[in-house]
Amino acid sequence: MRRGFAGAASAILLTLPLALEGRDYTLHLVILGLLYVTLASGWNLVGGFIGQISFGHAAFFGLGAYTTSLLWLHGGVHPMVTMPLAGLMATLYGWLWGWPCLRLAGPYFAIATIGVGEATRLLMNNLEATGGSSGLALPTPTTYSKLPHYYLALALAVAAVATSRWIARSRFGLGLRAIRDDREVAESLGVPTARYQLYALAVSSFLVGLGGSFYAQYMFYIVPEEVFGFDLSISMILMTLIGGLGTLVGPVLGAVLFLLLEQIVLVNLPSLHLGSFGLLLIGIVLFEPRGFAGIVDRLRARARAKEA
Amino acid sequence: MALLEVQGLSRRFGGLMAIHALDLEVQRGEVLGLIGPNGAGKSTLFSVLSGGLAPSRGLITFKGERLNGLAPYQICRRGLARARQLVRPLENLSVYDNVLVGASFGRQGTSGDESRLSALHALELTGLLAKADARAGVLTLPDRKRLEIARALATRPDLLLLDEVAAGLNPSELAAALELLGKIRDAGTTLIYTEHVMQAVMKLSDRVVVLDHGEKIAEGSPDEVVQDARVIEAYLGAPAPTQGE
Repeated sequence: MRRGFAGAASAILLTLPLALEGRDYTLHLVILGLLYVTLASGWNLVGGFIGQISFGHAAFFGLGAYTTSLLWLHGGVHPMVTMPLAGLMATLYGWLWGWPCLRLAGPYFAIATIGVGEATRLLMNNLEATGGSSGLALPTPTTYSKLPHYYLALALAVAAVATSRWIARSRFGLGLRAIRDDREVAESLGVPTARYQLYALAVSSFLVGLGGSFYAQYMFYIVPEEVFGFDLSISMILMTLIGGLGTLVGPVLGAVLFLLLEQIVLVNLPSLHLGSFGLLLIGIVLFEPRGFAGIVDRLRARARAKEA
Repeated sequence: MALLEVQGLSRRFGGLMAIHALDLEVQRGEVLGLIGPNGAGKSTLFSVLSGGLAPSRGLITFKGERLNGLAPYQICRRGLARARQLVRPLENLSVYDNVLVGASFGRQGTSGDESRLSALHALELTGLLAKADARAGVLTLPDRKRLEIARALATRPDLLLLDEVAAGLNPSELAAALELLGKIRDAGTTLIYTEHVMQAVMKLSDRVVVLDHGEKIAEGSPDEVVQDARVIEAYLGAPAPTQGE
């Protein structure tokens, strides 16, 4: 049954653009959703898998976006080709500050990442190369179709989820879970905790960097205030928390719910935008800390109990 | 060559000498009981040996190799494991996964199958097999202690440090714990353990070392040590000056 479900899901995802032909805005939302899945899954590798809550992941997104944009704009390199490099730049940056910061834990790590994220945003906002606060406009093609972007976004999202799944089932993933529960105990049982945390951050920042690269080539316009923005880091945290921290389906569910809410609230009650997410977050922490993945689990268990 | 050799080991906390110029040797296959009043430095010694605390001075040699300066995970991988007095299960992991962490990471170059096998073996030895799927956070104290030992055993250590295994157990649980230690010894693992329960010490140890204020005050067979005047003094206080009749 599981295989059947996966088959149906991939069939729907692969043919979705055909069904949405002529409805560009809906397709745009789907693409955005897939990007969110990539970002939330990437963030979850650090925030969920090792329990280090990062408020600085927008830095990776922004670096990815700018790596692609600058190479495209000044080097004439095809944006698709720049993607691995965009991910790598994000990873390098992650290692630069991750090495000292990952020694911290809990709120101390979170605070350090706020500092790193904000410092990066301010720096990028004042550099000439980034276009400063007015950003960079990228060459728009003469013919434009969202189709390639859709499949690229889909590939990224699938890669992010598949990577998470692979890690969760590996020996590496077991080590990460041990670190999340008690770093000192994990270390005393032979887990190289410092190195493993850096590995997790490397994969996480790489995925988010890819997301940034995709965003630049999809939107044709980037501004530091947005791609390095604190709001973006918060969004990644919210999506993962809503969906279910440390789970595989959590970031996917969370990304979709976040997108829907964002659309509904932004359109109808723009002034309550942030407040409504705050309320949702309080509700989740109070009633179901495992997020919607936890709710799904509960419903499943109930259904099973009824069957028996 | 001794399995573990400690030379001139000191550990200072500010003005307090928790361990002072300690020399210690442990032979392969031996069971060494480490006793001493509260605050004698037993747990500190274990922390220093397993790499959690750096020594202020002195040399630790294990299987002919220097341990000073190694990270705790490297020390574990060289075959020196520790079970803590204040048990710390990985609460959100299952009992089996807790043990699997030790089995997968404790020794390098083990395949996944070997790790799973050694995890199951450790669970069986400690009598936790029936609870393998339970979340570690829901275990009772005696089971948590078993898990602490199972996890350390799963790393396949040559030397196992056991910190107060009997503390907080009732008599029947204590008997079970002693039986388990006997099994571990019989399987060829060298043991150093600290204990308050003298019955446990007398029964299991080949040799006993007594610490007081971070210094070694006596060493010998269990029978010798309990008759040592300095040991009695350390535990009960100095005898009152004898009054003339």
